Amino acid sequence: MQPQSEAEEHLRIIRSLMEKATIYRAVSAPGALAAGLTAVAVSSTGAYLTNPDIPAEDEIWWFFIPWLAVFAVMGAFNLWLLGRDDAQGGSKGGFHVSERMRTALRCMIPGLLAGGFCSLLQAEMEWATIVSLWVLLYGVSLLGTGLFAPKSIRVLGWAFFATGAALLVAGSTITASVANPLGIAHALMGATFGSYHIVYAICVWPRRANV
Amino acid sequence: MFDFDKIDKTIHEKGRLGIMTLLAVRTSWTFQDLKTELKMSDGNLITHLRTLHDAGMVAVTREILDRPQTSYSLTAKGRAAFQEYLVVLEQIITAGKPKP
Repeated sequence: MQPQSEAEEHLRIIRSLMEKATIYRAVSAPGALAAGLTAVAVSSTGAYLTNPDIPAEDEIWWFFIPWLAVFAVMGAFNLWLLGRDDAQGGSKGGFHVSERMRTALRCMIPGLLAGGFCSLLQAEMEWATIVSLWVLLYGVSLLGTGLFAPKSIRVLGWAFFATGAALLVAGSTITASVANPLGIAHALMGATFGSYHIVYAICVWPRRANV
Repeated sequence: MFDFDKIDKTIHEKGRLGIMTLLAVRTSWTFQDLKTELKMSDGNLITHLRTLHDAGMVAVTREILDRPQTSYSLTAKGRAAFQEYLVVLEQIITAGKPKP
């Protein structure tokens, strides 16, 4: 190889490694697809099964508990996928928490915890308002990884953030205008957490190996 | 004419260049993280890291947290050598370009 082309090749290696080493995708495409499909399924079932006659004290079982379970299971599944990928690119199985995964978690956890704390205000708020806060704060937590996230994660973060903010503004109007507030809260979960994750997964799946 | 002896032969090998590049990006890397990023075998990575360590370019830190963990970082000599290496690469490319 000519010295000049060899030097160019080495500079290319350096550039691509530097870019790769500074980018981290905290939401994997398969994890997002699974979360999106699960959210749509739970949302549809919830919207179908709930009705205005459900006593207020039982609403937690018809809305909060199922969604808490979805968050926990899908969050754990996404972490497992990321940890598997970190363990030798997934070729040997196993699980490894890389420094970049730790950093991403440190950036995301405050926003996610804030969303969890908002749930404690359930007695004073409509479920639709809590959904708006969850959507907004999930967007904040994704944007928290913005310094090292690929563009697709930042777009997803801004989509959640903008939707959450818009829903917060329109929240009381939405709730007042529907007969089944619990049903609309389920529908909002499906429309945001469900559809946004599915669209994200479809968009990044083919390019995932290159980022 | 460019003097090709200026190239640091320790760094000018793709495996070791990858290691030096990653160590230049972030302060400290664990063995497993380097292995994941560079997709090298254990033996290959250990050999390259030992070469760089023997040349005084890479520092090794062994810690026992929940389990033993070895981390690697660039020494001042290693950082200077890597910067010098980049300058030399640029000079080679510039020297090879036709003059206007």
